[in-house]
Amino acid sequence: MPREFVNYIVNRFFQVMLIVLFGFIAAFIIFRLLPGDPTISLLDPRVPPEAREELIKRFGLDRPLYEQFLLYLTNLARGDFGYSFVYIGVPVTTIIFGERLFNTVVLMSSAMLTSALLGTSLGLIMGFRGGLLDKLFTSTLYLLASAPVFWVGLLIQFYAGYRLNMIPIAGTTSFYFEEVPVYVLVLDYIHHMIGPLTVLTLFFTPLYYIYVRNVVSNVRGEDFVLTLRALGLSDLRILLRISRFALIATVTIIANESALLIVGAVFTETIFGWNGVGRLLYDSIFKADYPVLQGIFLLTIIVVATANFIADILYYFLDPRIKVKGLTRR
Amino acid sequence: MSLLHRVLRDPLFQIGFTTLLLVILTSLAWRLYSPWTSKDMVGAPFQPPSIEHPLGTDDLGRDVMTLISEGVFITLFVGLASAILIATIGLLVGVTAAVFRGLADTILMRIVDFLLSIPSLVVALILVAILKPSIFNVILVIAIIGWPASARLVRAYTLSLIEAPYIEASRALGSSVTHIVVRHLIPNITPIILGSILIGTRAAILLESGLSFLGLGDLERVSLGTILFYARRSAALISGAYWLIVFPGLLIMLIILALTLITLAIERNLKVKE
Repeated sequence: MPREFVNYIVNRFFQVMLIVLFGFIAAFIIFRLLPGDPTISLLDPRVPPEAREELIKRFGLDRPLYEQFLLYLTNLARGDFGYSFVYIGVPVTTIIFGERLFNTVVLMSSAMLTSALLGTSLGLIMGFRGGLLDKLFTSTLYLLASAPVFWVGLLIQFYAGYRLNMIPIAGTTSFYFEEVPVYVLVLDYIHHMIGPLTVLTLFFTPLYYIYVRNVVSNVRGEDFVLTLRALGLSDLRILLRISRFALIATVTIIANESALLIVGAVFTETIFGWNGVGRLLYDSIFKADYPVLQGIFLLTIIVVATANFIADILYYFLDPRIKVKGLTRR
Repeated sequence: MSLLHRVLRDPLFQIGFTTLLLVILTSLAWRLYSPWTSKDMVGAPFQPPSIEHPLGTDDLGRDVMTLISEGVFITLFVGLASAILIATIGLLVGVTAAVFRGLADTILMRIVDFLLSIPSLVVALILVAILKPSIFNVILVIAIIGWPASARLVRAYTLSLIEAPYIEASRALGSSVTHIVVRHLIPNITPIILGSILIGTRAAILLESGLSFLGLGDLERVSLGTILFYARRSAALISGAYWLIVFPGLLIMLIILALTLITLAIERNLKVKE
């Protein structure tokens, strides 16, 4: 491996670890120093006395703050995110990981993939083509980008669900107790996903489209494209050359948006009763289940950091400017 | 031509501004004309749009047009108030970072980078839940989430100003840092601050509507998101009361679209200058 690549990766790695550290400190501050710290559960009649003793010991609540912070970091490092206030005795990790995380990741990754493909390809073509069709598409997608996601969700649930009976109104499955073949379960799951997936695709596509379209539209007028034209390259070949710029733009957005992988669908999951982490976040707020909230927050931070790191590696290979300039980005 | 002139002449700005003005004037006109407030029950529940109630009534028999016309102002107020707070913090942090550079700059920008990288909705939801929903707390939370973007913009712009010949000249004449900041920097940053307020208003309104839709807004004061929250909670969806869902959301979309167009016009004209 070239030395500059190693330097670049090491540098990026430390930047990413800094995000994680900031995140853990922020979580400590938010959930300890503000109302909502573990002591609140000591006053909560739902918590039995044994659990009370356990809480004081576990958080070191009788010790100074910096010791509490060290204890908190040690617990996290061991993968111990604490216990839910509501589902008493159930570890936060059990509540978040498993079915809920699976549902969310399936929904979000399908939505992001669909919209990245749709938005990038449309943006590439329209930005390259220009003209009336480009104007039409661009204004429509700006309009779509202005529609709040929860409103689009309500409209789809109302018209496609309640009015036309095309999609299930809510939930992830229709079979709670019956024994049915696996393929029926899978089809039923996909049927339930149509509504939320449409909403999220409508939400994410304009982001990709607008960004990619503007990049391509700017590149189209540059000297090297004129040169390529003068050399007699076909439109298709030029489009392929330009698509590299579109790809960089897409990676940028995916990197930014993958922060939303875990919690990007709070509205959509809440509206459609999709049993995922977004809805868990919403429910936990109303149930004041702070350990679960903290768990979701920390998980988000870890996902953000990982996504940034992967994107940095991709940039290195996609964007030659990074190799030349060294460590400066964009 | 100055930046202000260029923006005012931009068709995107003109369309956006006209839309916003129409929304405000229509709401104002209805509030002056209609005898009701958002607390009055004025007819049977779930009445479809009619001449008397142009946008129908809700589950409690309140006039939806009245709810919306009040909601528009609450939504705009929260948006603008948070945006002004955002721009103020952004100005202070951005100018401090750009003028002093060094360690202060590094630390501030690291914090900005961190805050920009985490999904704002999660932070907003958790903070509002902990601080308890009220109009003041919603504004505060939106400002906590929104200031980093503004700070980064102001910092970048200030840095470009510091290089300018007239500031170099002023420095050569031996002016103090305070003098340069107050006399030269602040007046020249004003357009970017105004732009920052408009950009912030857009983000703030989206966030406020979202929080209100989830029932985490100030439930005493009806904003556009709150109307949608109550519509979902009541039997509006099953009863087929489309007017309770379509119109409030449409208003949010129009306001956001108008602000997007204005933002685009500002950004487009700022670029020409650089």
